[in-house]
Amino acid sequence: MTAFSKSKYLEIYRKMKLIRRFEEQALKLAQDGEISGSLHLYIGQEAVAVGACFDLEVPDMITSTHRGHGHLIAKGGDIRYMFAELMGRKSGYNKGKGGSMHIAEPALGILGANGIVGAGAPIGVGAALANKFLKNKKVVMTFFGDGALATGAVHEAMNMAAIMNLPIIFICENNQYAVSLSVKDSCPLKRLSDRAKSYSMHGISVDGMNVEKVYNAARDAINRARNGEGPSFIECKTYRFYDHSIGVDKLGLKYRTDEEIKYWKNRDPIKLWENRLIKEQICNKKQIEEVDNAVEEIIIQAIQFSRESDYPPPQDALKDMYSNNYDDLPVLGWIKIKK
Amino acid sequence: MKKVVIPKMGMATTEVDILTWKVKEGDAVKIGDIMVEIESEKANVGIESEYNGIITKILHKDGETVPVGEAICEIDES
Amino acid sequence: MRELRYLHAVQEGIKQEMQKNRNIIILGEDIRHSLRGITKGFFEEFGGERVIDTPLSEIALVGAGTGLALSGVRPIVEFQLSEFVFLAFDQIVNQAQKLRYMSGGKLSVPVTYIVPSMGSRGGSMAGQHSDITYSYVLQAGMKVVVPSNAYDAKGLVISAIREDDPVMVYLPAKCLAKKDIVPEEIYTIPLGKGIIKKAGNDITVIAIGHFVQVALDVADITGEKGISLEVLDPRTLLPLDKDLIKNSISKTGRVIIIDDSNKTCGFASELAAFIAEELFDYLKAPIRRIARTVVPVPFSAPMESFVIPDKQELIDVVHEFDI
Repeated sequence: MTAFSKSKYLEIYRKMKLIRRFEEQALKLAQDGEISGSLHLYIGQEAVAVGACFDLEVPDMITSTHRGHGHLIAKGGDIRYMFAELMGRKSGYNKGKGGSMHIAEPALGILGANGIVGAGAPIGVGAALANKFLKNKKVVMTFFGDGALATGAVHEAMNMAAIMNLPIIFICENNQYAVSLSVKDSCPLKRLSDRAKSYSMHGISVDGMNVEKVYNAARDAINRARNGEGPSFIECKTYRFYDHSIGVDKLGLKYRTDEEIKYWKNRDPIKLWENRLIKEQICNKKQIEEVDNAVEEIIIQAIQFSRESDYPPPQDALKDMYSNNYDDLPVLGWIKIKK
Repeated sequence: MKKVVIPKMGMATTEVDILTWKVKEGDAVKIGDIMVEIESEKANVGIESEYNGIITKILHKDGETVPVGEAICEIDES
Repeated sequence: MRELRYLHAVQEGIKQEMQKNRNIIILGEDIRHSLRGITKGFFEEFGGERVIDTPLSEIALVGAGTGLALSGVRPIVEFQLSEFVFLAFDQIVNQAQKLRYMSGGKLSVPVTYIVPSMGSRGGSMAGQHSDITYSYVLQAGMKVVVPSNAYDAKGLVISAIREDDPVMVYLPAKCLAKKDIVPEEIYTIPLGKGIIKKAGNDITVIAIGHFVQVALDVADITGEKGISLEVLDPRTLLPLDKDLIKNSISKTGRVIIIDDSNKTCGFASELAAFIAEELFDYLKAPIRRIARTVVPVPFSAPMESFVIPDKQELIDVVHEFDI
């Protein structure tokens, strides 16, 4: 049992609520056409991002996934610049160049969300190798899902992290499904953390709907990494309440039963945490409401900020390809042939 | 009559330089004698005789660049 | 003046740069014992923290290069074979090459890929060990240098390491043993600048890598028959020295491009398209390309010779022009 201070309990609630409201509003904006492209909603998984990232310092790094808004917010991402990026504005984190799946902010240690399943893990390994070499005491937390365990990238990354004893934590968010593929059809293990044994790596499986359980496992892993004791693997069993993405949700693929979805929605991590805070009299309903209102205010302002931000001028598409300037770079798709 | 060729050495070596011949035409050699020193981009190596016999012909001289697989001398086995 | 073999010139360039900048780490397979010869002596000099043998994990090798580069280290990634680039293709063209742009310029990936090839005529290394692979990454906009001689090799590899973007340094097998005068001090050759290796009037021959020497040899041969070749070595494939090419073709009006990668969508195609599109008015004859026949390189020597071009193919094409 962890003894949190009261403010810490409430901060955990606030962070999860912020992620939830961000995602719900992003969904609405997408349905209304203000956000284009795809969205992979983190709703239901908030306890993982918040619990895992809570003890990370600002300079510590994370790599995230296509379902990464939760990680980005938990690591301190400013939701104004996140909404702006989703809405393709120049004021977005990536100046509109990346969108949902590529949001990055190196100043916060956010090395980027990633559109390729598993591809963040090797990059995280490289960052951890750098930290070990530079002796800067930073740790790296790399997120991926149950589907990614099947990728060569994750295997190679975990293997290398173990061989090189790197300060990295592998968080496997097992939300039971890749897109429509059940984890039962993707991984032969009942307990995904058994995978860590094959790398002689510390591994643990926790209830991903219980933010304190996630926090405890992550805290131990972070300490392990910082003390030079090497990498860890944490499986967090969780569930995404929505379909894989907005794009897939309209296809009506029935790979999950209504009963199953209902079962997991009854284990909403934010509700569970709120109930616990009230039941153990850590705080009262009024304090919860105050946090909810504060979160709402931030969300409203952030969306307003984004709506009022400019789109980037089209010619900005030619910027940021390279670190320096050469004639004829970037290669233009068409040119005017002077006559 | 046996031919001595530049052996395959290293993954990308395509040619070597002949540094110094240790034997000349008419000399007798035994198995294991170093006949010539060659240099690739990776290393200097001595080529050993695989036969007992007499050197009958030197086909490439000191300082020449020779492709891997090419014959550099001939030996009459005794 | 001191002569060095091309391989040793590359080695010296990397070594001197690693001596100068302690934040450079080199990773690869079998680089501590230096199977490919580039990193010989590096482990002894720089230690295990800066010279890292990785497991046979190209995805993790390249990904680690990216992660290192994002985190304040300047990594060099050595590929043991040029085809191993295929194993890490996502990490190279979909991650490393794209991160700067997708992040709006906030992420910087100053990684250098060293790719020594084995592909060459007479190597008999067969289908999966003979490729020249730079054309695949050029399409993603990756900077690529292909030094043709030892002097250029040292200067270009140092520039590549100092560049703050991913750069692939391609070392053609047939160049590795060649000697040239190489200064002992550190020097750089800028990216994006080609060089005229031999001036001429009748035909511009744009040659890549080991074909530069082949073109020079052919220029001697055809010169005696009264056909004057101008041999142009781009040195950097991207960014390309378009002005140099324009100056040459505006003078000769004829061009042969000889490149040891596959013909289809290979670098010769890109050059030909650029010349046809932007320098058409200078042309007196169609652009000619000499490149590899698009089959996996066959093992047996006569077939290998047939599909990989060499001197004779260039001579034949020279004589097809009406001069």
